Amino acid sequence: MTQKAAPDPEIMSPEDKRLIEAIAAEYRPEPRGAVQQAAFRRRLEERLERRSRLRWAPGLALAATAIAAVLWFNAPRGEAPSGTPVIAADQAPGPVLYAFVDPSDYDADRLRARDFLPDDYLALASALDVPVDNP
Amino acid sequence: MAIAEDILNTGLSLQARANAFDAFVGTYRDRAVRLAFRLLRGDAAAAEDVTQNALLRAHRALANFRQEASLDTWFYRILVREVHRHRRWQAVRRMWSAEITEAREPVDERPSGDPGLRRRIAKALEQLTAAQREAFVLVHLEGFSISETAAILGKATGTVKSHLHRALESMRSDLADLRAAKNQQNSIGVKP
Repeated sequence: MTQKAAPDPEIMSPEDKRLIEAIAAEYRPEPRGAVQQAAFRRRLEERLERRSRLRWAPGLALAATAIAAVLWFNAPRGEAPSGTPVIAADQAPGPVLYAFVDPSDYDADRLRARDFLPDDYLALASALDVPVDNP
Repeated sequence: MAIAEDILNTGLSLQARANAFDAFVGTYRDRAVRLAFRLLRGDAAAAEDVTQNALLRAHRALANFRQEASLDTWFYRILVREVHRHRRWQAVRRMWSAEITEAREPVDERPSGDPGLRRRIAKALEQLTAAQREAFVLVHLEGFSISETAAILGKATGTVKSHLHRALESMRSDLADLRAAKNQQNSIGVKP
């Protein structure tokens, strides 16, 4: 059994031809007069002209963006907050403050008890021969 | 081909090149508007816009025209792409405006002919897939050959034939009365 091949679309029955002719005759835009044609042409010319004027616009926009980016990255920033506070010499911590520092891990050899023990304590310690500086 | 060569020929004066583009527009405008009208549900304003866009694109792309295809095929391919673009935009606009207003249908206020029949034809064409509609309009209504249509649509000739076959079947059933003999036309509302 052979299957019937689909008819060639370019070879149509008279009925189909009539259908196509009726569609083609009815389904078309209104013929345009000289005025409409001139308006179409004028509008097209305006658009062509506008496009040629704006031909450099994308390039200019790109260049402006690039310049703005370069300026942004190279602009001097405001004063950053200083990381380490600077303490004036006359405000340096006195020897007493060193007592609060763990001598085992910070400059222990600079710490001497006699620098911050009361004088009467030192006098008694001296009289009794008690070592003051060395633990 | 001479038109394209003249437009691109930098040896010619600007006026001569403008005249060549004018000839290009004159050659394609009417058929392009009609083709776009038939692919865009009979929307005359949209057909003009789409044709303008296609001519602008063609003007810009002429420098890349390699003459591998005929100028006709090349230009109508641009036009069909513009139609696709327009229909996509239309679909997006319809989607966004659906909650606010009804989708705008092209208004055909022409007193000539039969507006009712035009609406029926537009509706029948809208029932087809885009590929079927394009093949039907290009071959049956615009008179392009199947191989030209295949080149314009970027499809194989066998595919175009298949689309045509299905499209014709659908149009036959939707507009069966138009297939009736001519002496019956007055009774189906087709004005002579």
